Amino acid sequence: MYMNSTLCALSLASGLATAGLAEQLPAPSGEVLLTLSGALANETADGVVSLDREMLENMETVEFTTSTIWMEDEVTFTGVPLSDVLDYAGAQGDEISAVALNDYKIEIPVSEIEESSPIIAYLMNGEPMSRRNKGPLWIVYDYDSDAKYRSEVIYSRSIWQLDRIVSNN
Amino acid sequence: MALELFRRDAILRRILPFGVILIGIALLIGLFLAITQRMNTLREAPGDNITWTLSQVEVDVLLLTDEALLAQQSETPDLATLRRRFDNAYSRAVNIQESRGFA
Repeated sequence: MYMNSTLCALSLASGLATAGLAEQLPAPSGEVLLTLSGALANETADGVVSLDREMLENMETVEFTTSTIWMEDEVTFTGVPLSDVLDYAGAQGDEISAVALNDYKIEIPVSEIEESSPIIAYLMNGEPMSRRNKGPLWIVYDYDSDAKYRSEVIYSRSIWQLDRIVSNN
Repeated sequence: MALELFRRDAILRRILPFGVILIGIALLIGLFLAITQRMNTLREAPGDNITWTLSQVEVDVLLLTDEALLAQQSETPDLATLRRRFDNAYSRAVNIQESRGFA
């Protein structure tokens, strides 16, 4: 009993210190597609947040059709806003690093992540993306919607074969 | 005494304009650099950086070759990594086939 209340107080204190209570998120049942680590308020286990396809599908989706500089035809992307995924994991850093399967790594300041842009796309033209074609996850912007999404900086942040995200302070 | 003051005044008068001009030039250069940098960040780019994309293909192919050699020599080859390397290289090749600026 004494131990329990001490633990309670401890977790409460740490929760208050990180501005918000740490939340235990459900563990993914399928193959893990995305792993978040670093400065997070929540965790699925071992201080990281892992997500499978089903969990991504259950989040609010955003869909748009745009041309890209990487493909000849216009494509339709379906995915979840990056900001929602960061909120889900309780990311607290000022900046995130996104790392691809080939260890390509980019940095995005959190201040430049908009509410619904970019998205982490998991479907292209309604189909899951294979690893051989930039899948399974791809950070994309609605390039056609605004000229500000057609700069080199944005292109470099459009990381495909996304594997993990680290929240940096 | 009066002469000396006059001289110092004359020197100052001669140096001062140069000083002002120098500071002006320095400011202009600084502003120019800041503006071009900002322009570069915001400029609409017609496509991905071609040099980088091409060199990255080579990087991924070399990584694949390395991994394949390792797998060949190992008794318990790490096939998952080998497959991942292959998929990365494959994806890069598709990119060259379809990207604007290449296709």
